[in-house]
Amino acid sequence: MFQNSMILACGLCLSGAMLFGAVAGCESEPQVRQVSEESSLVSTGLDIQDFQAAATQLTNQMLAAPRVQEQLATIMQANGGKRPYVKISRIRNDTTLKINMVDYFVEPIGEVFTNSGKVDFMSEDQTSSDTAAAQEMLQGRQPRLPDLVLYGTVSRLSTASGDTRQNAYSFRLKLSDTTTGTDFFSGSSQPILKQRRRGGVSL
Amino acid sequence: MKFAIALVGLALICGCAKTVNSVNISHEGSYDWIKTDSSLSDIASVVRVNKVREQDLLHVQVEVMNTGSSPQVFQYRYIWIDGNGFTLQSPTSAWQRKFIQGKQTVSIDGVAPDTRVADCRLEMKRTDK
Repeated sequence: MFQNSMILACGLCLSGAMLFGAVAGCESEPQVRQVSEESSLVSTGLDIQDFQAAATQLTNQMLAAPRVQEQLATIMQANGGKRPYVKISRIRNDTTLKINMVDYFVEPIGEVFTNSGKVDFMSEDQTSSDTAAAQEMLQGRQPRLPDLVLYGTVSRLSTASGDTRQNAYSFRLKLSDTTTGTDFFSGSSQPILKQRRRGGVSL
Repeated sequence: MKFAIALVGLALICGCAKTVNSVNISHEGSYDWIKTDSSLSDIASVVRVNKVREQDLLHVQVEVMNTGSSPQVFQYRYIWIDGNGFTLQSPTSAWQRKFIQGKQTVSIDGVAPDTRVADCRLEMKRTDK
């Protein structure tokens, strides 16, 4: 009798332990891993690869536009060899997405133009700008004003048909001459189309 | 029988492998197409390479043709190399997608981000997404 009770108790303990082990084993812990660009997420919003594609397309367009190169050379000549000074103005965000468009869309373009020695961008850092202005004033000169202004828009067109919803994103950029107030470059990326059907996102 | 199954399995594995096909474009204008993914070579078959230096920047255009009948998508990027053979890091070297219709020829354009660029390499790979 005692032996049977012991066997039953041991059996119950063993079953409990196995059940606990099984539950603990199934408990999924959040996993963090670094992935390649290939594995990056695709959403119906704007993803990092969309910004990279738009920035690359518009950089290529600006670098390849003869009028941009002519204008940069003319300004440089008029400034006595100083590189054209560019200010990044507003990038209007018409997408309803809360994203800093300057950081993700314009900064990579600025990086290429700055590092290639084509232009100088006005520093976004307040201390740097104030110090430069003070230096100019101490030397009896006027603070340097930008020769060019870069501005643009990121827009979204949302449409739906049946159970499919589509977002079309477009990136536009313009470069204007501050002495004449005219735009001498206007470019746009290829539209980025994203569809969401019930149960998935497709490009 | 076992040998046949192994052979089919091997063929499937090889068929699914997504490696990078490259086009090395030298400053003389000649190019070398390195094919490591035969499926991609059919989707993006190199037809012609144009190269010109404008405003001291290298402009490259590689024409590729989809030899198949169905629409395809692949990814590409340009790697920019200076006169000493060093790769120049640039935000314009990110992977980009390209859609291509059946039997269509499309051009893949690239503009060097720097005047130091002498040579370049176009890399292409297949994509699922």
